[in-house]
Amino acid sequence: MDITPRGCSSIGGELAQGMEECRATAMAMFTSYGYSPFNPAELQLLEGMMKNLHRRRRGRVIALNSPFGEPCCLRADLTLSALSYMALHHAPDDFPLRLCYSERVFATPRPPRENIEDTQVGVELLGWEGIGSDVEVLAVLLSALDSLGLTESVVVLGDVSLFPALFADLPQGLALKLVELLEDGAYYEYGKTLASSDASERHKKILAELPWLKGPNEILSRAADVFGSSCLLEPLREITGSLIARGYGDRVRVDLGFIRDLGYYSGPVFNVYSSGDGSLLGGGGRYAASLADTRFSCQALGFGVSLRELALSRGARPASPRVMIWAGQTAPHRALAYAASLAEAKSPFEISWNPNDSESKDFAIKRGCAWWVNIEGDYALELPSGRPVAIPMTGGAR
Amino acid sequence: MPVIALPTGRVRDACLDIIEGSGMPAKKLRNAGRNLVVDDGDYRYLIGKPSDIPTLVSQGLADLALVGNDVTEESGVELAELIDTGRGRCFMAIAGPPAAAERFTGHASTLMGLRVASKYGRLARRTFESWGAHVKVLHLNGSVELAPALGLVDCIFDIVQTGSTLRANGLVVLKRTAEVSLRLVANPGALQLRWEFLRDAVGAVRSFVNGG
Repeated sequence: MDITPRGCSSIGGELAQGMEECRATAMAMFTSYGYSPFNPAELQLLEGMMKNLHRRRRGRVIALNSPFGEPCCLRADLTLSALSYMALHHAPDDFPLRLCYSERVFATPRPPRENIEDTQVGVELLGWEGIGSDVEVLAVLLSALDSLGLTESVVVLGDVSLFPALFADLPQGLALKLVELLEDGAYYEYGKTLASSDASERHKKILAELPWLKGPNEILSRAADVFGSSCLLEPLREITGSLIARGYGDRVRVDLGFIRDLGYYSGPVFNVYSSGDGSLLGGGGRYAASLADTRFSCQALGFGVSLRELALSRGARPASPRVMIWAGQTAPHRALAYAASLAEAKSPFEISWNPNDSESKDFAIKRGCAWWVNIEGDYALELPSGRPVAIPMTGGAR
Repeated sequence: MPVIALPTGRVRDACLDIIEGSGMPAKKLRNAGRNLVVDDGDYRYLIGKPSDIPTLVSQGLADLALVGNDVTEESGVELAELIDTGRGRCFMAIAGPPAAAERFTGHASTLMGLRVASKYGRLARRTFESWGAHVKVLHLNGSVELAPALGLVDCIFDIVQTGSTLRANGLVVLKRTAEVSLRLVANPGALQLRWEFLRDAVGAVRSFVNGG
């Protein structure tokens, strides 16, 4: 019986184990920085979602009706869920608010992908305007990636507030068109549209260069030359400067033509990759908390990364050596007392209730266990060699 | 090492001319035989079926590719389009028997329920939908021109180069829908992570196609 529809997957085995390790490590890191776990509803009201998502995302929302007849969608975005929760449960004097999550998001896939669901871990920080909060969120992200062993992961920073500033003197229609072309990655069309526009030569020169200002942090100096001023670049300068001072210099890059397509971002934004030639793990950035009708006029920021991509990027990790406790000839309460002592020592184990010790040993070898323990005999066998070793029995197991 | 994906088939020679004209190594590429991975100088070339090129790039196996915009648009894959090389020019069109021309001169309602054969199913549907017309698209992988003659469909949606295949099968262009040419495309992630390694290749192609 297969009850998993196309586009969904039930994940088990090593990948599920890897994802769980990533989730536990990331959430532990987030909570240690003061982010409180948050468990959002799986369904979201369609109207709020459609109002706040980017045009490219709106078309991918999976809409349905709730049993109560409300037009809804499967949770398409965790930031909006978090923001809505914070608005409904907190007053501005609670600021800053910090939330973290490990939850699924749903969207119609873009080819060649087929999956309609993905589990993301992330944080949202609401109500702090300064650059410190941008740096905090990025540092939390990089620390979590470090603790997962992804020490070559790379953050690519952009700043969507550059566009309204640089496009301010252009006719609104042209400015919107240019932004859309950049969002779509249509660089050729962007250049063509710009060249044929009535923009001043100086404007054309700056805007033609904009999408190509990508690279290591030093590109900011080149950008300042192109713009004729470094004012617009100050937020990125401060953020990258702080990350460099934290020792992340070789893991920070800049892309000034970068616009995230979630639609609600209003300041520095970023993508994060598993390595310099790796896969996209996720991203985030700064947005106005006034979206989603929150009545908050402050700024917020956050990120989400895919648990699956995290686990795949880490690759297979050697599992902790597991103990098979043979309980086939032991009273269950004694076997469970011994198991409890292993659990307390954080030593992974499995209980074999098979009455046949030989079959139990074979099964332990098949399972890849490092030891097979005979509680009654007060000994353990090292597997697969079968070499006996003495084991100290706990008082509880006796 | 920048990795560039190149298509086999109709536009292969045009791609080789662009690679060579841009000053990138092409000698081994010209003599690739059945090799699908060619390392030449500082470049690696992946050779694939045109319809597979967007996937090779989006999956990160190639940083850049030369491929027709008909193929990238049909794939629906998210790629960055850097340069229109102007080579391999042709156009997308709806073609059919001359008698069908009348249906394309009036209101979109005259197109409702039209049966259309195409190997570009996604693009065909999107094109008709943009006019507000719902049509039945029959996906065929080749010899699309045969379908109207057999009465299978009312018209076809395909690329047209010279129009000689259409004429040979008694078909005419009913509506020209989009211009097609070879484009230099990139993996968006590669642009963000390795732009300094790709910049020279992109600049060289731009300079070549601009005649400089």
